[in-house]
Amino acid sequence: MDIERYQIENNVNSVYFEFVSKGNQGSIVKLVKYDLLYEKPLVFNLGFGDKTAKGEIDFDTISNNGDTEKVLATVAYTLVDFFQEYPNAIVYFVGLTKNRTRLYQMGISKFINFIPKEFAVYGELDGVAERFSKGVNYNSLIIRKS
Amino acid sequence: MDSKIKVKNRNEGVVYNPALDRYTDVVMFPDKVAQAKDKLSGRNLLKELDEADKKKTTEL
Repeated sequence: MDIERYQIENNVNSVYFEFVSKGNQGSIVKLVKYDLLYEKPLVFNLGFGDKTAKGEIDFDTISNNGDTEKVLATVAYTLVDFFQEYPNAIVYFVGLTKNRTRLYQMGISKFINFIPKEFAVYGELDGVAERFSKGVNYNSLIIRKS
Repeated sequence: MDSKIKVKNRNEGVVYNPALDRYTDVVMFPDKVAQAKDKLSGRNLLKELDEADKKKTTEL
């Protein structure tokens, strides 16, 4: 099943990705970064934000570029590339604001059917992980290969 | 490097850009990393996920 997404550029070990969101606010460079948290087990934090014209990172705004679904689909697709490089890794991500976290939740809820079944998605409530269920407002999300 | 590029091109719509390699070791979201480490500190995440798998509540 195909879903529309942007062309992605990545770095040599697939921990850094960039793509250009094109919408009603113009072109916005988006970046996705998998930052190492722990080596045993191998855990990465998934960060996602905008790259300003000055090259700075703006990670606490919602662009309202009218392409949220396409952007989230593109972010989700970086997982495929990342897990090819780190098949045993665990990915952890949480928004800095509750709104951003809910945006991720809505995106994951919407696109979970497009995430390859090789990935297991978990939600975190009160510091405990459980398999992701639609309709639950999790604090954080965790993804790994099944 | 040629072989690496070939591997990278396996995924449709993903293109390797050597100019992005300078970001490999840069922590882009230090606040989020600190927040995540704090949340995961002292936890056995693998055990949690394995136990969650046993319940299999994910709707796919």
